[in-house]
Amino acid sequence: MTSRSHTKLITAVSAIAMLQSTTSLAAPTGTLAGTTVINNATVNFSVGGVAQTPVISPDDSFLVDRRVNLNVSESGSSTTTVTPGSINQITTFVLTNTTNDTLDFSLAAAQDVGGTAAHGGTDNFNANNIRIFVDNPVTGLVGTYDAGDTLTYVDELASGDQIMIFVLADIPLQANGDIASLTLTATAASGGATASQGADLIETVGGNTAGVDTVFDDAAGDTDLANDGKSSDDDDYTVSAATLALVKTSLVISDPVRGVTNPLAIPGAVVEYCIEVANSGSAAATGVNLSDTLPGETTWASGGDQNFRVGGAKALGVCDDTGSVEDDDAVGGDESDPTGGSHSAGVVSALIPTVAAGASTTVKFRVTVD
Amino acid sequence: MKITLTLIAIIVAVFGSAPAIAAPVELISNVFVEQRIIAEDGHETIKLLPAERVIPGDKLRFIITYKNAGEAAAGDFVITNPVPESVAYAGWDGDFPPVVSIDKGKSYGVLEALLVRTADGAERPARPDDVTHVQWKFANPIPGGGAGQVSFKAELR
Repeated sequence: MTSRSHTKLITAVSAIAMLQSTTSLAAPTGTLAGTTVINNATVNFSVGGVAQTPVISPDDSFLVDRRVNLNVSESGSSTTTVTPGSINQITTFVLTNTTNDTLDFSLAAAQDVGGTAAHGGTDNFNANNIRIFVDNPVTGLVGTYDAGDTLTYVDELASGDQIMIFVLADIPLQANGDIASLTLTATAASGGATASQGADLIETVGGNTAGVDTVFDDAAGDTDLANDGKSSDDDDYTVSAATLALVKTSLVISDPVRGVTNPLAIPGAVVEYCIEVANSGSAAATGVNLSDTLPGETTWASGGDQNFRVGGAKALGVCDDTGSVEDDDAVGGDESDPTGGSHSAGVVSALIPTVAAGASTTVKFRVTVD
Repeated sequence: MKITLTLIAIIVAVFGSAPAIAAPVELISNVFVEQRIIAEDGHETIKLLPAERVIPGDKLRFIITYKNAGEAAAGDFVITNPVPESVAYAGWDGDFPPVVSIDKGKSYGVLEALLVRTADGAERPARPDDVTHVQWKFANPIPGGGAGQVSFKAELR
């Protein structure tokens, strides 16, 4: 999921900003660990009709222990769409601390290996240079990744509060529709001091201790078990790329003997080539440079004859004349439109600024058979 | 489902000492945490464990044990237990129903008869977790040497 437009979460995270100035807007989840609950009872009575001094029971107290519960979930419900070769692509997660204590959390991101990705499809590549940053809820963009988000663990998250976590990755040159799925795991850690990462919590084994005991009470995540002090969720990157395919066809226009009637490809015949550039990907291809080397047995025959056209369409198997007319060279008035075309030493070049996703365009030119 | 109650902790020991003369009535409060054990046949057993490991949501049982250690009967016998702030009252237990207060002990009644005034001026029936005090009013004097228990249930908030 991209990190844009999460108004609700930004609101929630503002609460954490408040927390760091010692006020929290979110209610703690349960009586805080370390609280001593004291109970006593009083009895009033009389003897022989005379009220006696009430008797108060000795205090009976117990210490509230730590119930560790946390949840990591992807922010939003869609994949992060990325282009091949792009860097610092962000997926966003939200960590909620429902422990009855202020805790730190250590964070780890793991690449999924195959299998169904977070939003369907199959994981088939790994993103590079995975980094994890925790939102700085005080300065900079709150709820959105910015350069001020430098902490790599969650520091002092109060009971009931939540915070956003950004996973950044670089995308290799992958094909359209390729998917990289990854899983973020948060592990509950001791709160301790501000700006210092506490050790991961260990559940108290055996009997009660005099201090605050730790009991894991979390649900199973994507890759972690119930009651393990961890929570995990996956999210994915889906590559949106242009996928270009070229189809080249030829048509004999005329020959020196029969003219345009049933012409044959004999020496001196004029042949028209039609190259269709089709983009079956989900992203536009821009700055498409196409070059075609003429067969050795042919000679360039276009240039200023209205038959060298770039940017047209293909109809009934033939390039139409809707493309822009180009001359032989790469200068002049014909180069002022978006498309370009030139010929030099048996190599035809064409420049097509944009081929939209799902669209196609054409280049056509003529040669004579030697 | 049939529920069997097993008292693991033995409420004891406190009453073996020398007779208190100034205060012939002895009162002890103990809190236990419920542990539910469901057998394979679905039969559920609740064990009461000492409140040592307690986390939010745990079911608690407060048991108050009284004893008239004197020889004269103790009349007008009233036991009052303020509910600690961190716990939510969850009903009484045993065979002696208490009256409860939702106004910090100013007035008492059976829970079903109490109404809470909400912020908008309306009234709603009181819920168990509105209870601030639990009180047992004994109709009859406790004879010399007489003893017993009263109890209420609660949940750690």
